[in-house]
Amino acid sequence: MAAAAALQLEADKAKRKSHSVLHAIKPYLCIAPAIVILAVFWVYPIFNMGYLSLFKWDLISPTMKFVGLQNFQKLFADPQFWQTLANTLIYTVFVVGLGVGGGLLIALFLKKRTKTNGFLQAVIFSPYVVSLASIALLWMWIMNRDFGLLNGVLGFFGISAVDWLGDTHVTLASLILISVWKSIGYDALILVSALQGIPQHLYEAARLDRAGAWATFRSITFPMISPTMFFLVIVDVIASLKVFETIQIMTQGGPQNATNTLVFSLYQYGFAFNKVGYAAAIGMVLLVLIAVFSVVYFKVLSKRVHYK
Amino acid sequence: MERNARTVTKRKGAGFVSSIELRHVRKCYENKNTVIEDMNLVIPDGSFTVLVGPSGCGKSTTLRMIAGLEEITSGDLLMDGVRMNEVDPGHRGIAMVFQNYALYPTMSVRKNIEFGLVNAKVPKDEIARRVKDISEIVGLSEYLDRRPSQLSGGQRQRVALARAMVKQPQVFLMDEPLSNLDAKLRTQMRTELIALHQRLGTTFVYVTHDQTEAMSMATKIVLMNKGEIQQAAEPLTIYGDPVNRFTAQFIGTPTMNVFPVADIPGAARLALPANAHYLGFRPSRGLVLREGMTPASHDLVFDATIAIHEMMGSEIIYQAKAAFGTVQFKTFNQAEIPVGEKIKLMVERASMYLFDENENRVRS
Repeated sequence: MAAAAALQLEADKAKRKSHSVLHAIKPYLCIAPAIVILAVFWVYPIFNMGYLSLFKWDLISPTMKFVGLQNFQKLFADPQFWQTLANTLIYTVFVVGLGVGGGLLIALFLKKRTKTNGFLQAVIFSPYVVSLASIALLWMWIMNRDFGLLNGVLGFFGISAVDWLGDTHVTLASLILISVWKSIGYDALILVSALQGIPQHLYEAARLDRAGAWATFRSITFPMISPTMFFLVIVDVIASLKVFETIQIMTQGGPQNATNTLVFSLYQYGFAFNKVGYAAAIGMVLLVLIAVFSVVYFKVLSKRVHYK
Repeated sequence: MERNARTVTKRKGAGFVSSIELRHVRKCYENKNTVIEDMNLVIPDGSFTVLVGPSGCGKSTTLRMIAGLEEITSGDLLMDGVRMNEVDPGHRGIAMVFQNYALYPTMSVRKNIEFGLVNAKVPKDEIARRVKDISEIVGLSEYLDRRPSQLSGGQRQRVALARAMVKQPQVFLMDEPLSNLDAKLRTQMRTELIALHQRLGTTFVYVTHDQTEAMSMATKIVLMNKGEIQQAAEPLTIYGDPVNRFTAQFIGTPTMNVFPVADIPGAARLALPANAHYLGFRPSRGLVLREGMTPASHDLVFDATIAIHEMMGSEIIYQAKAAFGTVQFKTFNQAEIPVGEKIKLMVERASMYLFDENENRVRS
């Protein structure tokens, strides 16, 4: 009897143990599909890019030649790379600055809940839902030097035609304008929502505290929407650093490299010139750039962001 | 009487007190919804005036019009005889404590308190001195560098008070400032507000729906219903001499018993005035008729059966079923009467309140 009871006890213990193991690994099993997808399509390519940047490879040959850091040495010695980097940074600064700044101005204008404002919000948001390829084609027509809408309007006022997508001094600005046009509605909509979430009584208290428009914005509105601003800036910066589609369709990095950016350059070296190692080195530079920006941004600004 | 005799240290010479007058004030919103029809009210300087009434009666709207946060549709708002309708809220010499405190969540306690002074361009050393003094008075000295989210409800309430006090306003406006506190803290803060009013001697205008707050704090109660002032008087007058049935039943706990005279058996021998349509009496005036007690000929005596009793400590509140409805009455320091027991209740003629068919008071 005692032996049977001991056996039963052992069996119960084993059952409990297997239950507790299952209980412990259950969460990991649940997130496993997402982890696998992330690992295959995000983590592995990053490491593989780092690996490829140490080789000379034409994408076709069965063998790759190890060259160490030569790809990086060539990259940093290449004036075209520095122009590409400068283009990317200029593009990012202006797209984010104008997109978020302009979005904030529009949001302040449209924050009141009225039917007109709701309609205007929908109108201004609409470019965001259009595909980049369509937007690129649309703006290629609008900005066409000879029969584009923009020059047609300028001509009406007697202003001479501008080669929006062919002049080295103008083309990057044109691409910035298009990107801002596409993203400003999204930024504005998110900021409208943040502004509408600020309790009205804070503004009433500010009126009683004699706060003028600027003091109210600086001391109440801006700190209250700081989490949203923080989010928009980081998302827009990363998206701008990775700009590709509009350049690929509209300018091919030209004229004279004036609109070439890191990602387009990476694409060209990797898939047009078949210099995979060099392209991977560009990719690593971009990765480091985004990582450094993100870390610095979070370290410096996250403490100044007010979370509820 | 004690409340009316409260000594306030008025500093009229220094301009720290201010009377407020509303003349034919009307408030109508864009959707044509009229909240206040025609309000005429004088809030004496140095008074602790409490606007009280049920939800939606217009008391908060009135306060917000005084503050300048709501536009006055028509009529005049005067402070010390000067029309203030178009004056910015920040320049009316008022400070307001909001129901949810309206503290700036992104600022420290210190910044919250000094924000109004910075905007008013008060010199820095003066700001520092005032913030130090006020934070000591309200017991916030050690919390000045914290954010409001790091404070308890009571501490937030003190920050809101400090923010109002530091501006040294002529008028304090308070919109249900205690309603977010628990019962114990509310009682404590009530006492502190009375003490604050006594010390500052400035005009306090206080909005609440809680008649206990109104009775305990006010030097003047303005009782409102449906956008109209029902009665504006000292607390004891409101309680003891209500002008209509609404006032009689709003003030006092439990509420006053009011029944149609026609439903009360034997009402004819009470010798009531001909226009007396309703008869009321306060629960504290319903006396259990015991041996040896002889009712006068004009007293009301009726049979009732105890239905519910609530032990409140020094008093017991009963609900008893009578022939004309459910009656509430109180006993003080007496043995509990068991549920189901049949009793005789007596109401003395002098304790009766009579109202006409329009529910206005009938005095006899």
